[in-house]
Amino acid sequence: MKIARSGATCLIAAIAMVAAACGNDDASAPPPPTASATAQSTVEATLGATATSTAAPTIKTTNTPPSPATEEPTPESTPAQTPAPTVVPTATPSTTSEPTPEPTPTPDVGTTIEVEVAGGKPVDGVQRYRIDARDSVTIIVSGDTTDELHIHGYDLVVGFAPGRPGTITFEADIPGIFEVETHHHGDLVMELQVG
Amino acid sequence: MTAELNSVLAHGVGSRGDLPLPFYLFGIGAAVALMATFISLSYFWHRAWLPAAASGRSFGTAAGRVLDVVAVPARLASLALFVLALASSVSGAAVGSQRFGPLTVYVALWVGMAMVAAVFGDVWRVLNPFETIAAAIEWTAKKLGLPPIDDTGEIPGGYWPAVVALFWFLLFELCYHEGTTNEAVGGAMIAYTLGMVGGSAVYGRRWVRQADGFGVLFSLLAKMSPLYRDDTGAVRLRAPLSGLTTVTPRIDILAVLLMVLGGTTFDSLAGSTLWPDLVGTHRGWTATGINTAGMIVVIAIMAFLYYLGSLAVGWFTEQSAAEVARRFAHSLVPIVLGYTVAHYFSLLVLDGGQNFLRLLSNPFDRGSNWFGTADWAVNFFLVSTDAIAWVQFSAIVLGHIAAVLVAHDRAVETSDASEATWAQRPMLLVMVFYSVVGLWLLQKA
Repeated sequence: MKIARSGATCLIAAIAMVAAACGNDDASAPPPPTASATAQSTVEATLGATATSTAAPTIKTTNTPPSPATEEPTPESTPAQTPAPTVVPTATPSTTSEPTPEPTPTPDVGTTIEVEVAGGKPVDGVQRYRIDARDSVTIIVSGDTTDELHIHGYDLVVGFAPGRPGTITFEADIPGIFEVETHHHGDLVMELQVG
Repeated sequence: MTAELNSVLAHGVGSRGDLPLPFYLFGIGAAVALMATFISLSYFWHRAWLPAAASGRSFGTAAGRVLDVVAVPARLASLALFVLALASSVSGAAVGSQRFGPLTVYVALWVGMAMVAAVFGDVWRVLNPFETIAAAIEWTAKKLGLPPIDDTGEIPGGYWPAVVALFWFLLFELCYHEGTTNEAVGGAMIAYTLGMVGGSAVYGRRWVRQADGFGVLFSLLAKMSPLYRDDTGAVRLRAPLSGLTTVTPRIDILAVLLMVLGGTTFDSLAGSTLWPDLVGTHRGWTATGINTAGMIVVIAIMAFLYYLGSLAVGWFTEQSAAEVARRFAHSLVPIVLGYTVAHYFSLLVLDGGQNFLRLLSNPFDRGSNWFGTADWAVNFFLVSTDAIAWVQFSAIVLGHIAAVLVAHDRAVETSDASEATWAQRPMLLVMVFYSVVGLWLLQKA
């Protein structure tokens, strides 16, 4: 029957397109150009003992069932410069941070993010940190100029100056993706992905 | 104090971006869209019934007269809001990091009115402050005894001035690095108003109908609405989507739709993690330049794909690509709505919409509380992130299903279902591609 056949051809072609799109997921798995910036990473996320198994700030893996994207080991995504070989490589395309999850002595300390800013820009490039909703977050910012860090959405501001890092702790109770910028330079410093 | 810089991910005025769509939703979404498309095309839809349903049933002229009465204060309120937003921007007022002018334009108008139009019909035609201004010009000219402006027929260039207007708006919203500042929005509003008033002075009120990009876009979205008013002013109820069959098949209308579709897709791309990987992170005029180039490329890609689909369909039906492209332009309207809802729903109901209502009471940051909303804190939990994800996914998938239905309905006007299904295959693939890309970008948020 012609109709059914043409429809079926459609379906096959369309599924092929979907598959191709999923394939792009793999294709984009090799690290983005900014990944090399993490070679001399001073950024580290210290996760509390209560942190979940998704402690590493991987972005895409939470709800991803075993899929080609995560099954295929991509050698390019685990370069020699990776500072934390113990971290399970998750081949996520956009994660540029290589944090070192280590159990902290005191529980419920939450997530600590240290970031260094030079000339308003993050030394290690813009990275996205994944934080569990309602987790406590501490951001420690140091920089070579006097400036403020502005956390969008939460509308929090923390000042810092050369030699005097700024520290702010807050509960990550608003789900979503939020930019963190230097106020005076107006540069994007990091993104927080809550939830 | 440095101006608050626009955010690369949150549509200019937003302070929050949506979480990435879970991968499984993406897969299910594509599958559902494909199955529904396949079934409807092949088995259920053998003749065009939307054109016949488009006239609908009348509620009578009484309802129309009531609306006419309500329209007067509504028109004035809308004009007042426009003036308020402009004045707030010109005054440079900011409440915290929020500004009333940009919120009015980017949230209330661009997102809110688009959704209102799709549900309730062409409300913008009444609320459009430029229509009111043009009417005032007409009235003044009459009082002064000036010869009436010829208001019949089309303005030169058809709807292309609207395409230009929308492109200009998108440049400000999505490309210009300072596009959310009071200065930019205030300046843009003044320039746009001058364009509308100047055009109306020469061409009469038809200028606003054809050159106001917002008006043209909203009137297209309103064709999806089950409500409309006929020539006698009576309110009529019709099958949803059936009004789309009354969209004039023109290339400039198609351009309006592809422009907005491409713009929204670019916004999604620019907010995804793919974009910084592609072009790096930039600020200032470099960002403006890169964004502009990126937006033009994305619009061109969306348009080119549609052209390819038209070309292939035309090859089956022995029509020219342009003919096919025009004929099926109306099927893009539900996709435009779907993309708009998917990308801006959370902005409307969370920070953007709530800040708009909050600042409505205090637009000049002088401690006023006109409507009692000034003390509101943004409730980020009004809708859950799960609900947002489902809205995004449903909007994309339903938008494309609607598009395929509408296109198929037109195709079976001239050929039987079997032939139509066969010939429409390339266009179906284009639609599938649009939906897959839309979902994929949301998954990369």
